[in-house]
Amino acid sequence: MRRFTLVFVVLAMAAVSASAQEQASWNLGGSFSMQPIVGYASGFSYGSGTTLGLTVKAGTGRARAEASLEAAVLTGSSAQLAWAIAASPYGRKDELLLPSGSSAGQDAAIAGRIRTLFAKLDFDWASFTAGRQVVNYGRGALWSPTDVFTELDLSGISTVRRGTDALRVVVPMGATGGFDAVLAPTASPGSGRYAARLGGLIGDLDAAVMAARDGAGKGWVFGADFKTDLVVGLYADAVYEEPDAGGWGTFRAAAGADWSIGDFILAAEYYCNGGGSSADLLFPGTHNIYGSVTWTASELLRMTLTVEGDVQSAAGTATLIAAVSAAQNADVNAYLQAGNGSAGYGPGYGVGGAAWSAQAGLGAVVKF
Amino acid sequence: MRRITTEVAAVIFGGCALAFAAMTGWAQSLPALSADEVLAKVDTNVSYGSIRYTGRMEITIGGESRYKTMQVVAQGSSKSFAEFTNPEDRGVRYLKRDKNLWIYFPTEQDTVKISGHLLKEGMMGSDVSYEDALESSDYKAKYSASLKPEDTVGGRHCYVVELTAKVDTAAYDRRTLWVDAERFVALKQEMYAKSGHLLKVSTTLQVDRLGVRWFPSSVEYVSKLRNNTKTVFTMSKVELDVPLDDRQFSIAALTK
Repeated sequence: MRRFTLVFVVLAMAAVSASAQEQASWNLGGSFSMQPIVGYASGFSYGSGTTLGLTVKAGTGRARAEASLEAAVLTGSSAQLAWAIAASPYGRKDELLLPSGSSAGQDAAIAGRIRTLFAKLDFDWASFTAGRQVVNYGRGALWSPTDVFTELDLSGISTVRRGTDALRVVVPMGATGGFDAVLAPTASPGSGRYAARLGGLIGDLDAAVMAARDGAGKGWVFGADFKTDLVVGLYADAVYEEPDAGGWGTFRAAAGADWSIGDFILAAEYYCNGGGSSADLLFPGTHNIYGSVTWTASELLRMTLTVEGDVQSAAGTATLIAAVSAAQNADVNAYLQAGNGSAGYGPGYGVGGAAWSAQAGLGAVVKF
Repeated sequence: MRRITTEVAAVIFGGCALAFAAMTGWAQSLPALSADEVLAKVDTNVSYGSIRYTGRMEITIGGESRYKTMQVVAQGSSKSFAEFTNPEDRGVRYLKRDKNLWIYFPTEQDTVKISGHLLKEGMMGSDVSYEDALESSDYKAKYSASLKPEDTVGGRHCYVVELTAKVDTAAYDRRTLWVDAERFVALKQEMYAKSGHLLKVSTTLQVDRLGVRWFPSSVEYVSKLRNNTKTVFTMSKVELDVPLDDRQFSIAALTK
């Protein structure tokens, strides 16, 4: 861990040094959103979330740094959901949730998280990124077994990828290919996560192979993924995970397709999880399906229906979202979500324990 | 007396008509050029080895307008790179190489390969497709041409050229161009699908002089598949045939 910190500091210093030689630039952007919700499980519940997100970027031609922070005031059922997630296996210790201690669990909470905080150096032959960053491997709209780093946050109406503390080195190979190595050590380096990925465009096939070491449980991971166009866009993503304890490993794979017909964009995805909850805590079922239809009714109105479910246990979620561009840089969205609450399905991960629940919300987002 | 009056009126009317025709040039027939010659002159104006510009899309639906701004670099019709700069889409980047398109989403730090069928869809909810915005218009290489009867657009005499795609990489199966006979810029275009349906009509709003060329720097697109929408695509700070580093058109550049 100490070595990792040292590398980070050296890279940051190099970034600052490089910045000093070229004209620096920076910008501040962000979003402000408000979302009251009403839910029904065994009875009605109400809540709201008011979130401020800020992103600061600074850099020059070769060096740059980025910090992205989110802070939210949660009330009612939104606060209760945040407490429940924090106490569940999906909770993250590096995310702030106040008040703490004996006052925890109130109907009001302040949540905060650092989504990204990294320094990056770009050379013609390689780029180095150190700090908290979102590392995205894989192709899936919802499921990417090859993505050994990204944790999903499903507590909102759309999936959010959480950042990972890592050192990443990317070596470009031609215009469309590259070698990508990511080191995400922990206090005990043996339980960290480390991965290498080699990918590129071969004909019309955008493909990659990867190998990873997950010291926290999965052992060795070997995988491959691709995306190509055959009238419809086709993609697949598969891994074999070999546990340190020996014996048979587990196989997980996702495959999907996307295509468009007029104003409609359709997507479908299938996920086979051969490892159960030990391989994927959020989606432990063996056979899972996902589908979405997006209708661009006009440039100002877009409606999306998504359905996802575990075929065997019949757990699932359906979400209908209408997003309206209300003004320049301002959107209003309304959603209706219903699910049966097990693991990743159902409003709020199912941590509330309800068999069936529904939720509706109205939100406004302003970007600046 | 009545016959004389009629003759005088005919002479006066005829004289006025001739004078008007002479003033507007209507009576002059356009120089005899073949369709290929007209197209070659258009290509001389609008095709380029490379381009760098600041783009602005103003999308109007009913009475509502939204704008998006971007920085674009492109090399011929095969490579282009765009980065959006308006607050809503700030940092979203597009890389197009031949028929392959990747989009980088900064919030997710995610690079996604977009399926080819989406290249014909409106970019960022506009009436401008990715191909309209990001490709050099090398008509002669992609279309075979034939001349139609002359016409006028906005009072300017035009050759009317009908283009039929001869390669798969052409953005539209058929298009009709109203080409300004003086500046050889398409003042109006109709774009058709393979089925023969009219997909889109574009009208050039502004033509700028760039060195020896006439360049359409502001174009209005109206989708015929949607009601009551239009997009005005305006290019400013246009630099043509600038030296560009090939690394600018790479996956690595998307995540910089």
